[in-house]
Amino acid sequence: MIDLAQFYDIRFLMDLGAFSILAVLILGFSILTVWSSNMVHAALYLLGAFASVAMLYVSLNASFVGVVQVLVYIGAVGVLILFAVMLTRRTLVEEESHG
Amino acid sequence: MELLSAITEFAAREPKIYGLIIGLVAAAILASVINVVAMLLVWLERKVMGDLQARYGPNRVGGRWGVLQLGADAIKLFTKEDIIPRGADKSVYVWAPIVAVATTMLIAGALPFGAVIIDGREVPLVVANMDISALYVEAVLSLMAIGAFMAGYSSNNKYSMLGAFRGVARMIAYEVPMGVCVISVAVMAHSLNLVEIVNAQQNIWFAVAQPLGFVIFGIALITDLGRMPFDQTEAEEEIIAGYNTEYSGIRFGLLYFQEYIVMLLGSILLVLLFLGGWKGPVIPVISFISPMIWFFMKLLIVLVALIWIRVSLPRFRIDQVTDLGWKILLPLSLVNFVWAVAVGLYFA
Repeated sequence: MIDLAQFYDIRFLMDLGAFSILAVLILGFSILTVWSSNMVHAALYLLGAFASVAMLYVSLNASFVGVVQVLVYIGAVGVLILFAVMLTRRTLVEEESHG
Repeated sequence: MELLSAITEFAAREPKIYGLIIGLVAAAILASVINVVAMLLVWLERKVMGDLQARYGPNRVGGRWGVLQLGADAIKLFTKEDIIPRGADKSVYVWAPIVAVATTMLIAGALPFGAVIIDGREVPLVVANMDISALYVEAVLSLMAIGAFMAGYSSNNKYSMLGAFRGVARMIAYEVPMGVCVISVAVMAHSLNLVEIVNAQQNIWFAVAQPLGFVIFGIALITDLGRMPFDQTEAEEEIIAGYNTEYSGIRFGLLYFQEYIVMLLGSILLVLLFLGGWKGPVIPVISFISPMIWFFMKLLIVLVALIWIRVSLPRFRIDQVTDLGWKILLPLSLVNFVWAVAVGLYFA
């Protein structure tokens, strides 16, 4: 049962708002990653999802984990995925996406 | 005074909302100041380059020194037609300059821009004084390749693609020695907070305490900024203009301007990590802004040195650049790390 007085407290609303926005971002980017037929778009959406998760960590007062998330997942893993995707042939990707 | 006490009371009562408001205001001020300073930097570069090449540089718009030349350039870029090439990946093409500028501006939030002395106490001018700001800056610096990659990939142009390739390869090669140098500094300063790192250089600059690290960080920084001896991503003679070949109008303006914002922020990072930040002898009459004066003098010297290097050195080949990064700078940066740990332990 949600205490109404607590619900209308602006601090609670701010936390809730931040979490809701980030949750929508993470879910949206993840779904787009899976649904996207273009590999490069999928990789970029994945980077968006990683960035949103980093922001979620920061909003939970775990800023070190957030920074490490940026450093490792976006800076290293994400760029590596982009690099690998760039090395695939574009025509092949298009054929697969249409077929 | 009443207003001030009311604000302090509000800050004590609602620290979160107060922090949010202060953060937004500070970010807005910071963004505008950085944009103006970066514009001045473009002018400075053209002027110093002109002097070094024995020509005038801009000297028509805005009086004898051509100070307003960049304003004229900006108006020109705003009014040019915005062309999106056929076959371009439109959404990525449109977003690339925005991502490039946004990831760059993220760095600014954690960098202290000097300090002022109030009541005999140094107050650093920084928006987010985090415990891990050095690590944060290092992490965000590695995001810059993404904007360039998006621009290069989406243009549907072989030269742009090659530029993006080179950018990512170079970024991966130089991120590692740069990170090791930042960690060496943090080991010596016993902190990852940039303000604490500057305070640790009260007696001796880290450029003196670990000269090898300073040189490696400087080279890696020039590479990260994509400036002359290492500007293979937009080498005019080889790949036209690299990832921004297809861009025109204000989108090109954003990509071009982003390089100068990075140059400014990278130079600030170099000053903070290795050149003692705002530390220096107190200047008597104007003592309260003497840290600012030292900070901006050092910054100006670094910026002019970067322009000087750009004008005087020829460009490397891309294979030489990656070789230098992986085979020379990475082992040397590890040597520097061992040195930093040894010296840090000895003086601890």
